[in-house]
Amino acid sequence: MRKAQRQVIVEISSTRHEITVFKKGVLLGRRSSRPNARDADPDWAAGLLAFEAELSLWVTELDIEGCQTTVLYTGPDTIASVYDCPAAGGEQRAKHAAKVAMARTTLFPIEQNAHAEISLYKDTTAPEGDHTQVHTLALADTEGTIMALTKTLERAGLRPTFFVPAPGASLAAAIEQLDEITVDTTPRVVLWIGEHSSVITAGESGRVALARLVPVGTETLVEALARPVVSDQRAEPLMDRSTAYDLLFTSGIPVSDGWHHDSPSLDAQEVLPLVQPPVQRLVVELKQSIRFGLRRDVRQLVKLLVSGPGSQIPGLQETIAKEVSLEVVEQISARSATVQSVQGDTSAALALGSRMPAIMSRTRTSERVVSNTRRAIWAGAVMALAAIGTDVIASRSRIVAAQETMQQADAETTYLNSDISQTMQTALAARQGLRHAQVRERTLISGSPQYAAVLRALSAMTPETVSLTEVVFTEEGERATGTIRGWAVADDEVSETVRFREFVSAIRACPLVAETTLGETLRTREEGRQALSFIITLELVDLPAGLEMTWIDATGEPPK
Amino acid sequence: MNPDQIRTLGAKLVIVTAICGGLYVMIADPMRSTAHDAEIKLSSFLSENNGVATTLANLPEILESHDQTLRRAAEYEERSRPARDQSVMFAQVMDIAEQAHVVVESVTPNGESASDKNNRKAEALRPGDTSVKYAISGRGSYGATASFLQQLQNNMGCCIVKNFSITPDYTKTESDGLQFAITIELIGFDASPLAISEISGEGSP
Repeated sequence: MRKAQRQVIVEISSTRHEITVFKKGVLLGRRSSRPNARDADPDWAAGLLAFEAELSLWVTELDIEGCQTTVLYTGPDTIASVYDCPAAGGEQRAKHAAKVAMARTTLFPIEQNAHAEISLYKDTTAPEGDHTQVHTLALADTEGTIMALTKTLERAGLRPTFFVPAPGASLAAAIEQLDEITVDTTPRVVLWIGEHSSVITAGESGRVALARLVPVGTETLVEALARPVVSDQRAEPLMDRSTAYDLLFTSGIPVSDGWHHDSPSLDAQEVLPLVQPPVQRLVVELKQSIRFGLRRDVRQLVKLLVSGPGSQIPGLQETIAKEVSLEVVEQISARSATVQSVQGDTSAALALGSRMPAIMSRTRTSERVVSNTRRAIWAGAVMALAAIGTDVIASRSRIVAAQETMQQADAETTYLNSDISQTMQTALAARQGLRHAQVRERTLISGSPQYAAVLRALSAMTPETVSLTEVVFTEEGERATGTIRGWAVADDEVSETVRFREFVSAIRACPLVAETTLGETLRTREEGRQALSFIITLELVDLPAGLEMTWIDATGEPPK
Repeated sequence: MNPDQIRTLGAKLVIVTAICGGLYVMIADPMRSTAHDAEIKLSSFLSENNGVATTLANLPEILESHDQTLRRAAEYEERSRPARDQSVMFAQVMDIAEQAHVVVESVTPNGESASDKNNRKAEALRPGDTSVKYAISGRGSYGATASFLQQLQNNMGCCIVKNFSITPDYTKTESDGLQFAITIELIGFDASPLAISEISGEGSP
């Protein structure tokens, strides 16, 4: 069986010690003892110490060592009270107000001792002219009490986690039951009869009108029954506490019309006066609460619910109801019925479940804070180291990625550079070869005269009276020279000399001819006419190819 | 918490913070800086080599230009065929003569242009170029001879007329008949790719 699933409740009071083990709401085991009041140590702490051996034995028997434990206790300095505060201020302010109010009632400083403020109920409705209230349960106890409980339970092998003052549990349980049964506008009163105190709560739907502790419980009745009775100058109790407890929970409150019990020596007339005062106290407290807590117009409509461990005392509920003249309502939920079957204040803890109002030892709280802080520091350190590790890994990845990209880019660039360089070199070499050829061609061609142009020009310049017998052109060095042999004849109008001079002038005017030199000229006769033979030496102008045609076209003369 | 607990927790917090801070300063921060530097170096490298990408983008244009160069070099090769191949030369001379209406009587190789080897033009040639001379003689009219000369110079590759002479053709009856003698030099240019180292060497213009 897994211990973690067990719910262990240890109940410690001056009159009763009990341990109850549940699993998923099912009772697994229970041990209980009632220290005899006469033998009991008047010092609460000493009595607790005496309980330690018994508790250790129970822990072993129930096999609950190391289980988380809820401690329901009634200590000598325990304070539990419900404070009302306007809901408009919020729960936090209500808690603070409850804390301040509680601090005025305690004999020990609140801040240095264990305390807790728990919001129990928030009204949803309010009487006309009034505000909705937040009902805050304030709990306080001395650090010594809590630490004594802690040490005792730890030494017994348990792990106390919650410390629930029994009056606080009764208050919370009573208010919860009031909320549970208040389903309409009819006012309800819940009387939760605990072991050492009772709780009276009253209210309507959505509103708690009052919640107060009454220092009368089942143990008060037991105490009353075990009280010494003065008879025949002797004061002796009719029964011991254990007998009184058993009698109370088996035979109940004596009534005049019949009281059944196992002991033939007891008479109702003897017992009734013993229990009457505490019962009357409860009745009076109940009447006073209704009178001062509820409006006059609704008092006659009030219905009463008696619950808590005291509700199991036969006849007590009926007696109280008869005395206060109120209609009694029954428990409506199955859980409430279950709770009713459990004796002692444990029933309050069961009624509340996880909503138990608990206080923590300041020392343990401090230790827990230290532990949590230490854990947070280590968690922070781990997270910081993880963050640093992540950062390092991320940086490393960036470095590797950058280096790989660099290597890849370098290789690609080198390859491209090589490839492109080779292509460029090839293209450049080809271009240079071509360009070089073009330059060589220009160099060679530019120095060569356009002889066709010269011939055409010569033809155009040569008149009918001039005949050429030889035309020779040759390159001499860098320049081309030519020799023209021929003769000019006279006609009817102009002499051969004039014709020759015109011919020479035409040659000199020709742009293709750079220089004209006359050679030998002789007078002679040709074709029966006076003639002048001549030799002309020419130096030609280099003419780019194609230009000669332009010049020829400009003359308008067809070549001869 | 009491002061001792606070002091203990504070000390632990300081120690843990110091350890974490130290690890960060000693390991994480330098690695972060290294990574940053590596990325900057990479970015710089990529930026510096952006020209490669530009060149790469222009490569099609360069290749197109190269193709044009090769085509023109092939044209040079074609134009150089008369200088390199005698039969081509002869065929082209005859074609031109027919087109110009002249009669070519003889085409005689006149050897390499040895007489020009010392002049500036000869120096322009580079190894691989070809230079040959031919003496051409024939008959035709004055205009046809001029046309023949023009076509020789313009349509027969790189043809340089070294000298020519025309005299009346007294053997014929036509009044304008001429006899001509032409010496041409045919040059075949080597337009093959030229390494840059060769440009400044021998044969540069």
